[in-house]
Amino acid sequence: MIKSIKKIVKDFTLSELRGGLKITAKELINKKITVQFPEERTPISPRFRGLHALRRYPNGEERCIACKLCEAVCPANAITIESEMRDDGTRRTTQYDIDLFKCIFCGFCEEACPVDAIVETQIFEYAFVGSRDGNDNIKGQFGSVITKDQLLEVGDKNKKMIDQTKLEDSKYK
Amino acid sequence: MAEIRNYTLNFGPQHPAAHGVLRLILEIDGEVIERADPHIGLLHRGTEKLAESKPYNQSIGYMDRLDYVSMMCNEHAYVMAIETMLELEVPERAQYIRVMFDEITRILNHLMWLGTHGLDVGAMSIFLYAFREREKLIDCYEAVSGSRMHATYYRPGGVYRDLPDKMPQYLKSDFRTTKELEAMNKNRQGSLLDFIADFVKEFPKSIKQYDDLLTDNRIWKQRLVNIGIVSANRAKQLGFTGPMLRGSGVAWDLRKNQPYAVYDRLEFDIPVGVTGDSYDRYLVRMEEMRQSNHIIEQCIDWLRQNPGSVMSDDHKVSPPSRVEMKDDMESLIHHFKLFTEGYCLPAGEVYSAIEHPKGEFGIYLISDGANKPYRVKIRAPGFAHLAAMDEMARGHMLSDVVTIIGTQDIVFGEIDR
Amino acid sequence: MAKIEIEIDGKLVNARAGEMLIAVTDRESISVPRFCYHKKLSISANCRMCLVDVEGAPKPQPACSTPIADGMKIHTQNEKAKASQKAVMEFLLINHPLDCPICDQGGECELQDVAMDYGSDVSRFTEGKRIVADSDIGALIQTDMTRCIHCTRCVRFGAEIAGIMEMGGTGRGEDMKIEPFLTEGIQSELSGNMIDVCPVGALTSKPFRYELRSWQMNSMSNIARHDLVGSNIYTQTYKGKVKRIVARDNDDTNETWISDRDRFSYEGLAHENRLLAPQIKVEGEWKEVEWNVALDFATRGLGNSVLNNHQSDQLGALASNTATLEEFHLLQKILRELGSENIDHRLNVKNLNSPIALDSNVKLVNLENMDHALIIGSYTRLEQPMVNHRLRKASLKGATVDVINAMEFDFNYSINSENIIAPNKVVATLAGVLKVVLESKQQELPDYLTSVKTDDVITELAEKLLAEGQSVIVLGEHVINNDSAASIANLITNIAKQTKSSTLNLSASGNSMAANLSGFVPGKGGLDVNAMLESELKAYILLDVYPHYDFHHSIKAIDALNKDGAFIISLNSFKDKDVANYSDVMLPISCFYETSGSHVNIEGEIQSFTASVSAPSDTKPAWKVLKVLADLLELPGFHYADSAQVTSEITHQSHKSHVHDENIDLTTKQGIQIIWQKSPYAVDALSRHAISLQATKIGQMNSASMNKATAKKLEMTQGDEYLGVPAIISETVANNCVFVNANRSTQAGGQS
Repeated sequence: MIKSIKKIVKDFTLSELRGGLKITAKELINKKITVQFPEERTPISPRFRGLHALRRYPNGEERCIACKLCEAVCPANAITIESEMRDDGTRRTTQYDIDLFKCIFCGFCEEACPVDAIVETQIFEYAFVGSRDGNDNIKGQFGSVITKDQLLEVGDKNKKMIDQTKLEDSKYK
Repeated sequence: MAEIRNYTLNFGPQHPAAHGVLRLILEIDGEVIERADPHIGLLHRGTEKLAESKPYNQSIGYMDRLDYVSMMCNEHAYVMAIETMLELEVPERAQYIRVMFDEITRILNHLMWLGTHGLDVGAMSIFLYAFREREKLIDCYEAVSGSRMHATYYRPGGVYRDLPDKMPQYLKSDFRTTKELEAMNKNRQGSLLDFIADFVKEFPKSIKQYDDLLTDNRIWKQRLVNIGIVSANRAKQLGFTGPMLRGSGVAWDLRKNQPYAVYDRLEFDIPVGVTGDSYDRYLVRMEEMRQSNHIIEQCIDWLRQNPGSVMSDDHKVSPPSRVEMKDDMESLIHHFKLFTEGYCLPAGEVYSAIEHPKGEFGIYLISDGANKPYRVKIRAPGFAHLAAMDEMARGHMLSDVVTIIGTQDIVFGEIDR
Repeated sequence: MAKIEIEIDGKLVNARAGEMLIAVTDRESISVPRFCYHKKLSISANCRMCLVDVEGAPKPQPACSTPIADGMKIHTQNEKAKASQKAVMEFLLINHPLDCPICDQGGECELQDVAMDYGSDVSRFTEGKRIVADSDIGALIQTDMTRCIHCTRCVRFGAEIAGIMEMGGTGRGEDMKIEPFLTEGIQSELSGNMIDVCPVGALTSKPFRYELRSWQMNSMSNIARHDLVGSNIYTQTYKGKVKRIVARDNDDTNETWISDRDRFSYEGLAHENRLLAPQIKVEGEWKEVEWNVALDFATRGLGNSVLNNHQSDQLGALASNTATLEEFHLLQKILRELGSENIDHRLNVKNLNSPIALDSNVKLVNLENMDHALIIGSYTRLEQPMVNHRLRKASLKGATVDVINAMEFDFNYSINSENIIAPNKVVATLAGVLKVVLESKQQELPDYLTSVKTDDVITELAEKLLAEGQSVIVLGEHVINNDSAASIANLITNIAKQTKSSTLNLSASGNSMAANLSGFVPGKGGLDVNAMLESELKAYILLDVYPHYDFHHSIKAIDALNKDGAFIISLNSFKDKDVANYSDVMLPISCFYETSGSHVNIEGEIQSFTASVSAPSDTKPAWKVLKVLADLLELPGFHYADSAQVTSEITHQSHKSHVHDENIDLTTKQGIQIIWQKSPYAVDALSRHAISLQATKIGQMNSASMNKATAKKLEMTQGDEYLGVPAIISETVANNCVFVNANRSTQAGGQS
């Protein structure tokens, strides 16, 4: 009996609806969790898989030795490599393209590379310039296909960040 | 006398409530559904065919993108299939990590489901509250694999990398005071496990919040109760699995009935519904979130106490560590061959299924002895559910169609593959 | 051979007595890993990888050197076998460098594959590895000897197949090195096969270094068309270009070997000197035009010069021996439909008054079983490497080989008698041999033989041919410069008939057999090539002719073709200055591997192939060009959809029998005799543009050899130029003879 009276009262006074409104009202004045991008960023782990880069050895020599493991393992066939003997007799690439439209940013290329040449950096804020060939005149810009020079540039510009993140993650690999 | 015909309405494929690209042809008489005809295939990407032309490991990324709201569970089924064929032993720590992340994925999926279901039905505020919790879990994904959604984290033989010791922190910015920053970073001071432990502690409050918002809410009840009722028998006949089946009263959960990974060592309950309507399924999923929370708690405890390797040491299948690879001849050879040709599975076939948040997600793998599968058949839970759309929607009203789509938890990635 | 039954892994299999275990397992597709065993090389058993468990034997036995015995029981995958496989693999990898990413063999490396399948997955080796210094062994093979696992396949290949042991193992134990004995690097004409046999990346292809991985390439079957054997090859292509050539097994033609010329000539396909666009000469200037314009111009040109005035006997067609069977057939069909019989491919023969007619009636496989061979006018080793390989095998089995040549050559097998005879004395020698043969058979001598002199040498040669057992007489390319070529051929035919010997006619190389099969020789009333050039015809269709190399007398030929008024259509793959000078239309055609067609080898076997890559840029397969030209000339019967239809038309037509003069004329010309040969790696335009081949010692052969007496007569000293070719004074040359191997396009080019 009391139960049914309680129920009728609850029904008429929209008690659960008020409860819900209380929650939303509380949230209204709550601290918002919104991260004000671009002034602040969400945290990114050292394992983050962003834009690719080609790294160099400390003495400046490019690491990539055109072994084509990354090209073979890429699930999306995004990497295109041409290679030949450089004048000093070493094995180097003449063409190293990553089609950023095909790439699924899975990180397999980084896993496969035996010399830690191709890596994925923490850079996710970048833009292509229009065409596939990009705009070679503007430094730091690339088209939807990023070429070897541009990848080396990304690596050079972000050397500190790349070295740091890869060092931190190296003990897990 | 004028001929009276049913009104044929094209619900979707571009529709905020059509959960992806569902083209639902509805024949309605006024507002009552006479017939519902789902047309699928708009998200067909040829996953199964593509998998036939790639070495096994390269298809793990495809699995992520099937049910794109519960990524690691899809990977788990595929990776389990390969391990069964190879008779490969997975280290225990990897199993626990997998279970933990499966449950994290389950919570991710149910939160997404809750948010979008609520949004479709009209309860718009829960959408962002659910996504607020999802952010924390997605941060877990990112910390462990590097990607917020499509992790490609599981490999045959274990998982790719162990859990990190440090969680990334929010950095200083003009928008936050030091105190605010400290508060935001409070749960990120330890390792990933600490972060997840903190989440596990706070999550029941969130569930209570959703509960308070929706469960007793009369509008919610009016929209969900007695909508899309499926009897237990009919559910079994239609091939329902997961919450759809359990909501109808059938106590069937692969984690209990056909345990895989380390589920047989964990304590959790399976919520089972009574009437088989949408409201029951809602309650089942809410309770599943609580149970998942409990499972994660147990996993964290175990993982804290049991360090170890997370990858099988059979280097015929799993690549050696980078330090080994740079030092040893055999390791380099195996690294080279595994990343170019890949490993070969013995000829045979296997069906391997897991308790996906949506139901039973199975991978049927046929191998002819090569380094690529002969056939990968993906048994998606949503496919059977969507097939029952007509039966469930008949007699209901147009707005109930939205509810039914929501309650079936349809994600087009797995239906169309 | 007796049949024996043995049991392998529980399965009963049949085997032949005397077989090695590994041959049985290979036949039954039971996998036994190996490194040093090669089915065509001797057994070495030094790698120990093929160890299998033989019941009854205390230690595992190497399958490659264990002959089967009745009732043998073998296990290839039990504990013992697996343990020994793992152990041997571990040992092999101890000193192997971590080169996989930079090694070209990665992806097709036997060491990698066997390590994956049979070896351990972790290493126990923590010490330092040894390294080996490399040597430069030539322009074709790159060495990385640190990777060598001492299987000695290259050593055995050199010793047994190439005939010169150029690589050898020095040192012992850990210090063992495989290195070349000689300082000039590897010289063998079959050296490229070492790249195929080397199971690791120690010996790799230098032109191909660092370019591609094996999994990136598409492997397509094709036929090497440089010589008379038609070695079977795989062309491996990437993005529409031929990147590498490897051997294809065919026991009937080339076993598992191919010559360096076959292997490395593909480099010329990408040379910048390719003719890539149709051109027409308008008012003395060359203009690049579209195909339809060029073909139209060609058709009208033919009309204006010969066809409209019904002067088709003023039209001639010449083709070098690089054309395919279909191209020969179509071109002669065009000419004959137009009413001309002036068709010839024998561009380099001096005297065509009577054609060189000698059958080839021995199969390549049977050459190995000969008991005796007489080689006349041939350096088979460099000219027909795979034929030479068969003769070498015969010699190793005990066959005696006599040689009649104008110069001493380095044969890679023992020669019974090397008779250095000047070209104008060969016919007399052979006549003497025939005389001795007939006399010994107590047969009547024909008139022309009565006054022929014989001596011990001739008698010896004859007796060898008459002796028990199978003999073969091989006539080589040097005869094309001989005035008495036809008589020489006829004499050989008679000798062979009388001694029941086989004959092998190697006088015309490339696809000449196809030219003969398709009737690409002048018919009744037709002019041969020398007559054509002398009569200054009004129109020519030239198929892949490079005048400086292909004609007997190139200067004369170029002059003749340059004469005013001749309308010349040239179908060429490569640019050539002289072709541009005399032609009115230049049509770019596809080179080797870019067209479908057929090659006819010395056995008469038609080996058809499809194009491995499409013709680059605007070039087209020559057979298509000829077909369209025929259609534009409104000739009937040229409706072919593909080259296979052309092939079937040829094989279904009746063979034209060529009447040849059986006359034997023993008159000899006096004075200095010249044998003018194209260098082995300059036989066709493709080889001439293959830069790696040209960088080898054989590729750089460019000399006019003569002895002191001849040099005095010609007032030559070492280093002077003889008709544009550097002179070498050597006593290995017959008197009054100059032997020229010409490579570079010479000023004179041809005989004076």
